[in-house]
Amino acid sequence: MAKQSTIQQAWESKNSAPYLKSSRRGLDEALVREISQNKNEPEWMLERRLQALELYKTMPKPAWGPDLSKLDLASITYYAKASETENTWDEVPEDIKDTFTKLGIPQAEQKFLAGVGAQYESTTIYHNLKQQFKDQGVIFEDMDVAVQQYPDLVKKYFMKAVPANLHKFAALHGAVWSGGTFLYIPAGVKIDLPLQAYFRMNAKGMGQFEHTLMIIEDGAQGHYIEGCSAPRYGVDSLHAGCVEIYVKSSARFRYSSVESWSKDAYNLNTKRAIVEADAHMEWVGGNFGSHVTMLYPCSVLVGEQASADHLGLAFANSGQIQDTGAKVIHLASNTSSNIVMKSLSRGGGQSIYRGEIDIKARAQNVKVSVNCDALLLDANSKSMTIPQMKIANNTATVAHEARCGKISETEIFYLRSRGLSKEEAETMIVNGFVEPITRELPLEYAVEMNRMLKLEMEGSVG
Amino acid sequence: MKEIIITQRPEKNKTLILDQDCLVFEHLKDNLPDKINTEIIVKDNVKVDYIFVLENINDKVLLENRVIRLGLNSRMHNYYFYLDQNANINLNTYIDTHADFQHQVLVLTETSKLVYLQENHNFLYPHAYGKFRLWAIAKDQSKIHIDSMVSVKKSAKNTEVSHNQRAWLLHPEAKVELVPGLSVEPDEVKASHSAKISNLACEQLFYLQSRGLNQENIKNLLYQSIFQLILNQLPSEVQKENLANILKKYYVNQ
Amino acid sequence: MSNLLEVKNLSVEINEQEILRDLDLKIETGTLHVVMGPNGAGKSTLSNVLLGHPNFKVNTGQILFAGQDVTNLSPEERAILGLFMSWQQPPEIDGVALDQFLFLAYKNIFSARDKAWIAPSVFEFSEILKKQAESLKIKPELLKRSLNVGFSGGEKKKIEMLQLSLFNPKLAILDETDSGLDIDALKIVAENINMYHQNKGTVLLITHYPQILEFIKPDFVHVMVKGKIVTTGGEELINNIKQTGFSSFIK
Repeated sequence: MAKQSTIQQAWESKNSAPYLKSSRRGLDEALVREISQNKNEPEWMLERRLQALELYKTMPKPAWGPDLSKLDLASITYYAKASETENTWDEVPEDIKDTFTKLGIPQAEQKFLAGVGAQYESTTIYHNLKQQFKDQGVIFEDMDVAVQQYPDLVKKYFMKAVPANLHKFAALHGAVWSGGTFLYIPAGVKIDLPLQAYFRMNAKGMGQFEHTLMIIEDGAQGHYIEGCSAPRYGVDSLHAGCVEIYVKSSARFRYSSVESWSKDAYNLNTKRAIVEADAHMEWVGGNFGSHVTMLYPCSVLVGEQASADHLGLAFANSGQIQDTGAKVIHLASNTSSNIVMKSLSRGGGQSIYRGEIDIKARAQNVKVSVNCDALLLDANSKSMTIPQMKIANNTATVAHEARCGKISETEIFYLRSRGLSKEEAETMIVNGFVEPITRELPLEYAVEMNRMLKLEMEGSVG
Repeated sequence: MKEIIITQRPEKNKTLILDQDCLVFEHLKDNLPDKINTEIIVKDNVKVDYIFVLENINDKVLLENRVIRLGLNSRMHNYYFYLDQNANINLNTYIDTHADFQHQVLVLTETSKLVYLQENHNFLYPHAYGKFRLWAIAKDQSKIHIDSMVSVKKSAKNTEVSHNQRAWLLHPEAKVELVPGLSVEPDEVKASHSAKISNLACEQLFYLQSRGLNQENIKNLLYQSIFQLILNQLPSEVQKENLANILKKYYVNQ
Repeated sequence: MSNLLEVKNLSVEINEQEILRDLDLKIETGTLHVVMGPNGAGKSTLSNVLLGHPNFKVNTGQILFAGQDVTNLSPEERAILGLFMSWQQPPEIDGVALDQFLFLAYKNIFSARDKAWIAPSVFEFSEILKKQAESLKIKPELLKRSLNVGFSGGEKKKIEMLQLSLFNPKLAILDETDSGLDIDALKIVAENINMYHQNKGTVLLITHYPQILEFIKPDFVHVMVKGKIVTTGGEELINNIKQTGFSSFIK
């Protein structure tokens, strides 16, 4: 038996969540006011929440994609408060710390990380940022705190990249969002170590609506990485987070995430970056968990020479639908995008690549390359590729390639004839298949992702 | 081989049953029917070459729902030419075991024409072969939208499908939307698809210009080359010539 | 001397078609054998079955290797026992780093052969690998790349030979059954096989082409036709085949 994944252990060890007794299910104006009041928010934020709530009430669920009819929005707990914000690791409550220990966070922090912001359900419980970055004016904060301390920045950027009217779950998010990460990197500041946060859903029927807002000023550089996990519970839980990233002129930013929500969760996440002239945005993502995932990180290339890379990996195991992809909107000339997606399906799981390339008429000389590979690991699983390409400018060059198939028997036989077991051979080939994605992650995340893969391959998860 | 020539669409819904090897030449060039539903059934073991030409007729839109059913061990090679006529066509195909289905489509639009194709190709049984090729050329302010899904169902093991689309936009205001979809359920399948949308690359243009061609020459050259690609695949010399004559109307022969 | 490999009365089918029929073959430790035969004789099947390819079904018969019945063993169990085949066209496996693959296989094979064996650290192993690669004139950067992806024919062969010396098998099977022989690649194989043979290694070369035998001198030659060994002799058989092909062996 292989060593258990730390995330796996964390799943098994549900911490008690007594505070939920006082939290209520369902959504109405009173709850939205209560959230805002609880957080002592300024009036303008309450206004925005209420506007979003109105939109949410009128908008339908998306008519395309996976079936969401079993998602009962009235039985979700939209807001819960777990503990007070802590400044140092020592002050973090023991059971929560234990979970993080299992998730490997403190060691990781010592070795690799510049700072850790970890969200425990709806309230961030731990935040730490290396002093040198603080001195350079970098802000890495709990989103709730940012609303209080940096209202001008938040007001200017909050839900401008992802407006509440984008779709129903964006509207829902706008009404009930809570916690999350705020990152501000001033012009010219380059952070070479990845900043990190970890999110976790811990209670039954618990929604998670964290908001991530990142502003990378002119010529700045950074890398933010987050892992998401959730313990397994019987009631459908919902994650409708939102990530907004503003990459200003000549800045570079990378956003990496490894998501492994519990296998009954709906992960309906919206991620968008606005990329200005000469700037570069990179999305790196791995999706393992959830019952249904709908996640299509989007780059809006608004300035000339802006570029985006989207690297993604999805593993759909038994009972899972991974509907993931990428969206790039080319609004300016000489912009380019590069999309590489890998999907694995096993045990009846379904992987769907849903992509959209939208080249507007005024964007000259756009270059796009899309590459999707799907691997079917058994005869029960399913793969689908739906790449939409809308081209309204004749100077564009768009190339899309996709392949779908199973692991080659010859490859397995070759490796076995050199002494590897069938499982080792399969795992080695699968690791090779996803290597273009994992090599972009920091070492510990790559190791964690490989461990997740191994577990999925053994069938001991799900 | 038997030849079937169709130049008029019937007023009502129609089923065409092909029970012997044949070449069908369907050529719409005079008047457009109202919205119609057609069904084409290729019986077991029958081999069919099917040429469909929709010419530039008027400003109306050809509205059609077409279903094609391929029997066991049958073969159908389609050559569809949508030549600068507004069209909104929904095509559904169902392909039986050991069938060989090749579907090659040329779409050409000028002025402000719109061609909207929604295709679903369904492989339901094992050991079938599917080849899908699309060439799309949009000129002027025209628009081409092609949403094509190739589905290999659970029961269709050992199916081999390839799906390639190539589009050119020859005018700054032309638009193309492609969705080369692929859905695969069984693991014993060979499936690939690719799509490329571009104009002639700068250096290609420059090379041709340096050999004395102007922009118009180059466009016509491109047309000729693409047409030739498809014409070369046609099964009979007579048809090649026939089609070449039709296609001549859509570019300037240099 | 004892038999290292003994194939007894072996019948094998794939997709309900019988490819090998009552095949017998004995190979003594330290000898060099060649199996030749026309296309379709079942030579590739023989090498695949000796290695334990899961697609082939053994209907009757036995494969004894190093005193053990291996007929139903998995490919990896056979590799551990000391059965090795050099593939004519080893697959290209994208993303699987050559050095990582070699380290895992090395650990698996030697730890299973000897319980007391202590695995080298990744650094120690890379030293071992470096030395072996140097002696085969393998460019060190090749070891970091994906297994066989984009390798030349000669490089692929060198990687196969590197594994031959690394894994120290009892029997080396050489599969050179396909057409399109690359003479440079062949010389690399011949040189290493001869060296291996001189160090008391046992060799089974399976081929269609007499050319390769200009570089390798066999002790025994077997002619295979329609799934059976029909004649066994010495080097003189090769001249027969060179002159008249396989027709004289086909009844």
